[in-house]
Amino acid sequence: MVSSNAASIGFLPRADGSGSFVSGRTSIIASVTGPMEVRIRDEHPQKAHVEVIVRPAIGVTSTREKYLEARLLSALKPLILRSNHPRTLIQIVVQVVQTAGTDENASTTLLLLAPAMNAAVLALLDAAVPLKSVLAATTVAFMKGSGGVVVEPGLDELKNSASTHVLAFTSTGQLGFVESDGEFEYEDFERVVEAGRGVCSVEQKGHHAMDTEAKYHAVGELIRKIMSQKVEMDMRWRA
Amino acid sequence: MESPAPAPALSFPPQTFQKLSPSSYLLRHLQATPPTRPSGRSPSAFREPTVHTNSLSHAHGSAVVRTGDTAVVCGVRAEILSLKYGDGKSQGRVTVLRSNEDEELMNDEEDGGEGELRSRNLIVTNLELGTGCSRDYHPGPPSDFAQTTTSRLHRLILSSTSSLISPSSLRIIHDDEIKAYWVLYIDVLCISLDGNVLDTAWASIIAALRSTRLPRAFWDADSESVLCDPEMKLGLQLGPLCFTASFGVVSTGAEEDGEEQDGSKVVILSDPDEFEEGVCEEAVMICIREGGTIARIEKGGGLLCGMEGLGECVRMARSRYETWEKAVRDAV
Repeated sequence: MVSSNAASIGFLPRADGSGSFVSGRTSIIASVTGPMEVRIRDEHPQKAHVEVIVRPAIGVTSTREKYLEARLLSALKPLILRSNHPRTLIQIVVQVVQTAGTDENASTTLLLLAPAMNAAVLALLDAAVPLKSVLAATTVAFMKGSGGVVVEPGLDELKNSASTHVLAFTSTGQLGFVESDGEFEYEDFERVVEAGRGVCSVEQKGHHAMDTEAKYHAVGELIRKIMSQKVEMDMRWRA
Repeated sequence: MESPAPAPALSFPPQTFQKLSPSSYLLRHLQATPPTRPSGRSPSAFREPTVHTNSLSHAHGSAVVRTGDTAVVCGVRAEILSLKYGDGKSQGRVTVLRSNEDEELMNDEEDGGEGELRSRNLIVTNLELGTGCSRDYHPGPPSDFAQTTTSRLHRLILSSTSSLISPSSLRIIHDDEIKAYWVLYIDVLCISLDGNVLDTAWASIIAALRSTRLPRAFWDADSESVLCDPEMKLGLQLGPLCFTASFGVVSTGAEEDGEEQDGSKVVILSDPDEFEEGVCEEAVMICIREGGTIARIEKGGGLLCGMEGLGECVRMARSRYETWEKAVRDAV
């Protein structure tokens, strides 16, 4: 079952780009500033420097945020055509608005990763940063016993899962990011990846696979819908 | 008329080539037959580990692990966390819950296990990069790299399904009531860093925990305090072992940020050293648990490594598990 996802774009007037993503109880906003001037220490003669900053919902930055920053950076950096803007900085700020659980346990952190990635991708698109491809991320749980696959699980489903997987795919279905935790066989992982790919990739031809209602909650289609609405708004003067 | 002598061809030693264009330097090595890395290893070769335990006299358990030029020391030190009266169940704190969350919390209290280790912070992990351990070392507060690696190690210890350390071996019990806990401080110091510090640090933690001996602690009702018996030492109860294997992924066709050319091949480099880590943007980490199941997969940094590549990594990680297990079992 796919929980209801919601996304929006371009709501921060002073940032170059902004995006928000809500998945279940987790809510994230992200902003992108850049290309802008870079600190000398980080300057690269042929490429843009990319920086991700994660701000927690409550409290100050800890190693948990540093960890999220590193994971997000590893997913987002290869998307950006960095050689288009040499000697500049592209800064992505991710603000956690609401988390799934009250305490800072592992499941709560895990549920942050996919929405944060989607919000950041939307913000990058809104800022018109040149990208190689668009990444859509989701969380998949492999349940204990039954061996069922649950896409975008809640906290209680995570508790009964044998393993949990954060996966990101490009619109054509290439696997871009994996973070899996638990105990599983490689065959289970293959099933999980197929389930994730179904939600994240955008179907190239025909729209027969899913009914429209469920489809628009699937991450890949949702990002496409938001972007087509934005382009429609930007181009309305031509009508 | 004498023609001027031809200008000498521009040439420079390999070291200069490596500095000027690290990416091409690595690719030229991999394009050779058979493909060989700058270090002389084949792409799928790991570095052989050496493990020594109990080298530190003041720690409860310790290990020195070295793979190639990456060397780490891990020390485990235990301290007693005594609970105040009434601290047992409610933990002396007021919790405000959103609707239908109270049930989840109650379950947490009952199963105890992982929640106990987390909520009381019974395991404190830290990785420190020693001064001058690598060329990129900067003095000052812990770098992002050190903090991220610490967090990854901590996550491996408190994996979501089965914990490496069982909480029961950390409890100090008197008449079925928990009076105090052992808190384990796991400190890893990287003496020399030549890439892939995670695998080495993780193996050092496993070896140090296996060598840890804690004095038997008991609650003394007369003095109302925890006392230790220096004569009797007990080992920790450890869950199933697991070992990590890291890989770098690079394409022989792609020059810096360029489009992939035809005939390019994706090469998976096992156990990358520092130079290779700097060139390969894409990284894969697989953690294999006792019995061959997978405990963790991390992949990021690009689109080169698809499912076939991951399958290959899992296979290599399984054989790497055997190597680590043998090295650690021989040492402890």
